[in-house]
Amino acid sequence: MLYLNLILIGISIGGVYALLGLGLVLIYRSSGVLNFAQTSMAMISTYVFWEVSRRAPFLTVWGALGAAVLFGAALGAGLYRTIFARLRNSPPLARLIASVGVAFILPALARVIWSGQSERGVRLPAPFGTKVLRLGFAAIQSEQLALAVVSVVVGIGLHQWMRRSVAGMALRAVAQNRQAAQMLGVPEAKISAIAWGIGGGLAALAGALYLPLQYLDPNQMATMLPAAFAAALLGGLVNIPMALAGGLALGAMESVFRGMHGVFPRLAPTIAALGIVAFLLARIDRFFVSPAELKAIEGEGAGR
Amino acid sequence: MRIPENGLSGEQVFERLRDLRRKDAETRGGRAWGLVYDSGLEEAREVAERAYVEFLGLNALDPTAFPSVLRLENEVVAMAIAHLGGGAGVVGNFTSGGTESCFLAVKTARDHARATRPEVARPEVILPITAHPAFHKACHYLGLTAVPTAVDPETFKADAGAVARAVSPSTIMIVGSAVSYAHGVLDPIAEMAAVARERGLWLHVDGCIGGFLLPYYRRLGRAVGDFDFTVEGVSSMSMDLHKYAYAPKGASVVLYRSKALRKYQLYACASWPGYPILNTTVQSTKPGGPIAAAWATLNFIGDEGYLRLARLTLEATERLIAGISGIPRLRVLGRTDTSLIAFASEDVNVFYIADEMKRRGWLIPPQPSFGPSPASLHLIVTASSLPQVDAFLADLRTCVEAAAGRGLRIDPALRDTLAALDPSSLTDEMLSRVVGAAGVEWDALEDSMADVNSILDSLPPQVREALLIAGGNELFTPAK
Repeated sequence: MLYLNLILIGISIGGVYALLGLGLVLIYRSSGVLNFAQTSMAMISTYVFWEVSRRAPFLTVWGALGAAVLFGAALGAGLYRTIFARLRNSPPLARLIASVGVAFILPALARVIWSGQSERGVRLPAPFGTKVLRLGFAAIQSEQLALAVVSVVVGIGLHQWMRRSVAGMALRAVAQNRQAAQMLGVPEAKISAIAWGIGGGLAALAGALYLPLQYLDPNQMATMLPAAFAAALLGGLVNIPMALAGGLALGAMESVFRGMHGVFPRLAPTIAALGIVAFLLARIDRFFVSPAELKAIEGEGAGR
Repeated sequence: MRIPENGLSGEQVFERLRDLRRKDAETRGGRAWGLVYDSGLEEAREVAERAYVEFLGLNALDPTAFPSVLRLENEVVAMAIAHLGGGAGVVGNFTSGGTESCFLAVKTARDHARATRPEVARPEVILPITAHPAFHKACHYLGLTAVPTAVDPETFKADAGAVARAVSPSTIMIVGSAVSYAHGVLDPIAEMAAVARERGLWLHVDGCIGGFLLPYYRRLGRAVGDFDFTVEGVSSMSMDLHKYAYAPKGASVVLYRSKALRKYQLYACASWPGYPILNTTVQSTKPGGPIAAAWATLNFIGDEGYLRLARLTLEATERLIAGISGIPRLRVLGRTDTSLIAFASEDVNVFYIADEMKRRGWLIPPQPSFGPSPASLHLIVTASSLPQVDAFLADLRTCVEAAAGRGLRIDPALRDTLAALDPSSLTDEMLSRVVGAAGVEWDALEDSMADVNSILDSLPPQVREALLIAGGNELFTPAK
């Protein structure tokens, strides 16, 4: 029973990994950037969530959540337009370093803007409340349950959008063969900005839903980056359902480790990092990615 | 352990009590730099003790049964009001200590806001990060949101601009310190009051530790910014009497600009079959002893007496600041406006300095790092400190050298575990495992706290708090 409960709670943390991982996948697919700033974007958008929730109480916590997601989207699209679009033809390493730079700049910015609050951390309102729900075998807070549900709904929705909508198909086209897509008239920059916007919005959603269970400071979310990457890598950086499942599974596994005895709780934070190494070594993506998509990824590696 | 079947003799009782006291810190003589306040006036202590004992059995719950206690409370409050520049209309109550005074001020501001601004659904209290934990505790108990704001990284005074920027439609209260506990500095109360006036907010000035001393420092020629009821916009103040008024423990006051504000502090209940109650403060049965002892101390020492004590305190503080600044590797944090000194070191672990000093009989409470304030040692200078200053500085110089180069001896694996703790997912079981793994034995802690302090210092505040609660939960285990 304890382990079932741990798994359920873990899936909610896994929902955060999944939302972050899905953002990483979208951004990588569209622009070839391994976005190390994903968790920083989540953190700073959550500050916006907090500020809107207190400064505009009439919008309610949902309005604040919406504002944070819009901010995250604008931040993502803005970062693409101002930085990563310019690095489109630079080597992948340059794009990666730029994203690491942004990952450091955003927390520094948060520390400057919210200096007093960043020292003690901020308690946030939880959109779904922190009521403890008893589901027969397990107990879970409403906000935790919501995180798991939202991540699954968003993941499935995103997958459908990629498959069916014109923009989604254009995004896949860009991912598969940029030049061919451009020649067919796909507006690559616009598609990439949309992908960055969705990625930023998902990061904001992850932060604003998860941090009410914790507290907010500029260092928050950063430790989740390995797990987000592990989730994205499980999907070979392209496969959305796999990234979703990977995030949820990773969260559950960590949670079980934390609840075990002996060395296991201490190992919990390293599972994600071990996962990244293992996936890279095993090239697990070969098993989950269609040959055409794999070809596209390897095209990335060759330095476009 | 059970109640002894046949009572002990009076002599046996005191023998047991004396035996238990052997490991306690000294409360007199100026060798403890925290927790205790010693005027050094033996007779004042005796007068307070006699007054305490004479009023021991009296209960301030019912002022009609014990009008003497009501009169004493009203006189003590009147003296406090006059001391803090309060004019006609200012009122207040005697409380058990600073935490109760601050708690009541927050509760009163909350209930005032509920009545006057019912549209505020999630009320917020703006607390500069140097505000006393009593305010965070009050927010926690009362369901309010604390909004911390920045302080100046050099002076450690609250930043009035940051306070103004933090005000939201949900803000109901601002808290300023006169002075802050950690660094002894006076916040810019007049500027904060301007923000409060402009936005129609409640400003509480926490003078628990500094409020009594500051007016005397001003009379001794020190530049003291305006901080009390003379500042328009100050709604309430708190001031402890068991600190620099040297009253026995359990003595503080909370004051309000008017009865119209104070009424939100009071609580009455007539909805039960027993007697109708009126509680002015948190306590219902309110012991007469502390009120009488505070009244006795204020009357015995008197204004001139307090001025003399303040002069001794000021001189001791200035000599300590000069002395500490002259010791290599040490630096004083900020510039204290009263008698509280925090000093830090760039390259020596201050927690080991505290342990070394403890071996030489000095009690110096350490302060972990927080925000712009590095880990430091904290001195509460009192009127009885002056004769100890030279001996203290000599030992401090030796102890800094002894502590130099020393660092944490704790199991690195434990440290990693602690660093990886996620405050939101800490379970009781995990915490007790961590406390157990630390090999923490409370007897051993009496001699050496440096390792524990160093670990706590390396953790985020939220994890520190979770560990403190787990430790405290273990500490208070019924005696076998």
